[in-house]
Amino acid sequence: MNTLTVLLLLLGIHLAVSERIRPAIRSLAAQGFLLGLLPLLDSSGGGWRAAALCVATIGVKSVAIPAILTRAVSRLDIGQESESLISTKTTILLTGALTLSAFLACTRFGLSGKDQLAAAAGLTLLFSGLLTMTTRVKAVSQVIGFVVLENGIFLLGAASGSEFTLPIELGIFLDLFVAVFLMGILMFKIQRAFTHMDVRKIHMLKD
Amino acid sequence: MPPAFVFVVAGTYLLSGIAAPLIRRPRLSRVVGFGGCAVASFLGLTLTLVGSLQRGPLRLPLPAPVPWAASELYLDGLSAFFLVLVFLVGFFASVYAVGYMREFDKHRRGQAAPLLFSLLLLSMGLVVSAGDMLSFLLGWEGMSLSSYFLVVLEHEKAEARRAGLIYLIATHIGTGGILVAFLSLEQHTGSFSFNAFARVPIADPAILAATFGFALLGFGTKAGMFPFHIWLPYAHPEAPSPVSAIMSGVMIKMGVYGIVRFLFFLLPAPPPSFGGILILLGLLSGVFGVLYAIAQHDVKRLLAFHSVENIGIILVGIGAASLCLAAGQLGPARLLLAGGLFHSLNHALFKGLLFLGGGAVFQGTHTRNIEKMGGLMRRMPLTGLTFLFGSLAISAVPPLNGFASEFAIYRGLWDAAGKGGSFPGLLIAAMAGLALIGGLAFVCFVKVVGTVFLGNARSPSAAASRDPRMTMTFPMGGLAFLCLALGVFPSVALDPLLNLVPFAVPSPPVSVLPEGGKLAAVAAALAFIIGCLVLLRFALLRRNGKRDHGTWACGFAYSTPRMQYTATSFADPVLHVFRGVLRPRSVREERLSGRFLLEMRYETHIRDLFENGLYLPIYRLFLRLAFLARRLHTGHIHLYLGYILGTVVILLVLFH
Amino acid sequence: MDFLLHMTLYIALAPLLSGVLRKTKAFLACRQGAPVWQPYADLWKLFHRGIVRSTSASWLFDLSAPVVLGGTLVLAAATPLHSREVPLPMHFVLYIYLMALPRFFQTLAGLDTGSAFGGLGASREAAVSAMAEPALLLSMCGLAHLGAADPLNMFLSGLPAETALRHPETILIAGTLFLLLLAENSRIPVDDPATHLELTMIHEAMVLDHSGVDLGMIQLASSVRLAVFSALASGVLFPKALTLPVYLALPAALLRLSLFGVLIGAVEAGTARMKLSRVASFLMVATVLAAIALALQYAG
Repeated sequence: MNTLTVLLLLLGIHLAVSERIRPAIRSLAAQGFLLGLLPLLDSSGGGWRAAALCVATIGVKSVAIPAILTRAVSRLDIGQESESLISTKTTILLTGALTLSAFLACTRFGLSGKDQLAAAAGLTLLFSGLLTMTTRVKAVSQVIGFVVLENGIFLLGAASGSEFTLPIELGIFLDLFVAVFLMGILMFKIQRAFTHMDVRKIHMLKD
Repeated sequence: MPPAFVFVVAGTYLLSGIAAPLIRRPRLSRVVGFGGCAVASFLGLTLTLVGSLQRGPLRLPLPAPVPWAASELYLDGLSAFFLVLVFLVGFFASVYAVGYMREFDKHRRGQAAPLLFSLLLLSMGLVVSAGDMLSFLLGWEGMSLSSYFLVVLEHEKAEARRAGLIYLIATHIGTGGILVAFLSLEQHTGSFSFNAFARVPIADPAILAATFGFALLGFGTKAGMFPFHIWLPYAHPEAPSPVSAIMSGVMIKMGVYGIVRFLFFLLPAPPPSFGGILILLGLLSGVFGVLYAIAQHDVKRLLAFHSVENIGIILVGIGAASLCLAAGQLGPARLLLAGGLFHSLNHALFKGLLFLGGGAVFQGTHTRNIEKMGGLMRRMPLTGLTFLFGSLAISAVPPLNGFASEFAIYRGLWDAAGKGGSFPGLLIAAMAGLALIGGLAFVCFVKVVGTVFLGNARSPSAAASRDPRMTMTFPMGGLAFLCLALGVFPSVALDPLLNLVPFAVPSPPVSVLPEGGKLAAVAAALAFIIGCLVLLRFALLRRNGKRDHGTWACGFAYSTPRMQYTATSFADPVLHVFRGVLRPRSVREERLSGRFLLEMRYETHIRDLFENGLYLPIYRLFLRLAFLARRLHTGHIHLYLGYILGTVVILLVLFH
Repeated sequence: MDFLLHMTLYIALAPLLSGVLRKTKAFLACRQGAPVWQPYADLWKLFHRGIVRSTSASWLFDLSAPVVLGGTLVLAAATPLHSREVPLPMHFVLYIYLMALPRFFQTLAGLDTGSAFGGLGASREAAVSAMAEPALLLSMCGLAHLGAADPLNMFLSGLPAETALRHPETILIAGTLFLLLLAENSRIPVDDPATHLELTMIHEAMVLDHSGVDLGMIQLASSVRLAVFSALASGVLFPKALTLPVYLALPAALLRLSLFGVLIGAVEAGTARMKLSRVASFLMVATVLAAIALALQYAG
């Protein structure tokens, strides 16, 4: 359980600092897969419900979303680099600082043991997802950041000890899936309309 | 130390100082003046070491400088420790000066140097043994002024005058800060005596913080603490080398003395934030000091920037000690404070040594630019060997003393950061910061030793250099020996330091650095294994043979020593990584003729960010205010009378 | 006796580690490769050769090879390989700083011959090691925290002997140490020990002017250094191997070192060398990982 959480955390850090899009998507898929295993390991949950949740998580986060993103990347022909507004070194420093502050913040939640660790990891994912969305230039990276953020919330929910209720989780998955799908379509549209994928220039759309 | 001896030591300083300018023959004047300083320092050192063995502080009333306040000398353990610092480095620097100051013989002002030098040492002695505010400030000003005159000793140089001016302004802003802090204490006690100050009841946290802030401004400026450090790299290099050694090795420690005296003796129970601030400022001093040092190619300026770095390390120790004390961790607090003080001693030794070595190199090569040196190890073997010891010590390579004291600080930090500690994050960050500083110092001194002493001479004057006289090599050798000795047997100095500061609560017994013995064991193992290997190499080479050949250059012949790697190139990888914070400026000029490049010039400069970013705007602001104020000054006498009338009216109406 | 066994083990096994590493690399590149014992033959040859000494060099150059090897051997004396007991136990801060001694002399020797290559290598080596320092310290802090019971003879002696997989922070520390191993031993993502262009080298450029006996000592020192880091990182992963009786511990040590040889070889075969200016990012990642490992311990 702890090892799984730490792996999730490390994948999150890789996602935050990686400079190329495809490895980031692979990390995202791995993260989704590990998240899917989480309800299985949490023994308190009932058998079939956990299994269904596991299948759904892996299906959406580890298969469907990465597939959409990979397709988008190859169809849009936007290159390897996930350009960033700040340098890699700064990103690493910021990620480290955010991680440590997440750990610091979690000491105040009154959790203990593996729950505290999971909460810290979740918070880190949330932060690093937001960081990715804030600093990355290409829209695909923004989507990745968004999914990481959602993963963080998932992990935080798991840490806070609330039951994994299947309908709610499934609803969230559906939302996420639709969101990513829409973003995928939107990216095509933007690409067609502006012939670039640079989010910095989206402000040109305003009146 | 019996009171009479104090007067003997002080008298010897004064007599030799005053005698020197009166003697007509420059050589005799030099020997009498600096020799007298050396004798007085040695006497003082012996007496302090013997005297500090006996318990209890020494109090000695002085003739009061002003009628309304009594004045006294008050020598406790802390004072004695800093006196040792003054006398020890003072002794070696004085002996060195006998030989070094020969180049000033042709100037009349060379004979003033011994007087200023002895006054500098004497006033530093007064600073650390003062028992009240007035004698403290007397010593403080004496120290600042005598060192100012030594900085501008070569006043025909524009840089020296500029450095002196910056120094004078900085040191007086500092004195102002100290004055305010002392007066705040005086307000609460109604006395100028430090004994009355001790643990004054300042209830208001705002006043406490303000007092500490002013003290930090004052003492921090003298210590060269970030961001008040900008005067230091200007002033220290301009003074003659033995004076630089005293200024960098000892004088900036007066700031450390002031901070320790304030935090641990005078202020009542400082809150943890004071310690935290000190740690942060210390880390910033350390990192920026060493980064600017790496970018620096003037050997003495580089050493001066390293003083900023080492003050940072000392402040980390002291700040963490204060933090731990506030958190009730007395064991680590003792170790940290002792470590900080020990590093002050060690820095005095190795920085003194390095400045003396730098002086010898300067006299040998007539340049301070390390890019023009090279190959001095073969021509100045004694200087090279001792400089190597100093470099190893300042890079904190075991088994030399620089490591021993950093080790004590690390141990204190680690003990305090253990599970259940109060501020583990800050303390571990401090450890990581110290590690970074240590690594960067390593880069810097490989650069210095490599460019100055190794390879081939890069200029004719470097090729003609040779080792200086005995009077100059003996102090370097002595300091190098002390660096090694304190590195192998640190407990000689650390044990007394651990018992120095009486914390308010009786602290549990600290296991005195158990690695004291371990360092000696490691040193012995190193000596044994390396010795065996040297013998093995010797034996193998006798069997296999060796021959000398020019350095391989890809089949080409080396035409010029300028093809060697330069200090600039050496520093580049590190500076490239930190270019975001250092912001180097580069100038590139090309002269083209049609499409052909005839000539190209490329320069890159790294300027102190705080000089341009912080102080220049403040300076401009003051200038602008001064211009505004000039409008009041019209020259019409009636207007001036009007000002007086207005002032009187306002005073009477508002403040009565 | 124990001291002799420990040191002999290091000196005897270190070249083997290099041999296994090179063989793995060759195998993965579909080459035959030199036999595993090639490093021993190299050392034998070098110790039978005389030296060519640059006319620019000073006494420091003569002293450098013995200091490099001697300093590294003292480090080895403090690193557990086959048992938790080491001949010369030391505090982790002392251990880290002791690494600077051989490096100081090695970099200086690089500058001493006046060759531009030496300076090139020395400058890069110094920069890389300086930036690795915080990560090294933090990961050692993490180790010390795990075995906090005995802070003096720490390293691995205090590690809980159960499997490391239960403690994610242990794996994280081992991972950080592995990254540092690559950086501090001039392995591929940071430096390429087998490159043919001097301009791109770090370590090899620095020792370019050493020959014969000196080169042999320096190569042996490099192998021992790699073995020291491997022993450390593998000791963190398999603490149980250190508690075995001697007749099992010796093969276990051999196995661990060979495993790391294969591992490093695989990493070298599978990754491309980084641009020099990106090494800083690499080491910053190591620092962040070490910091997280520490944070995990304070949180858990």
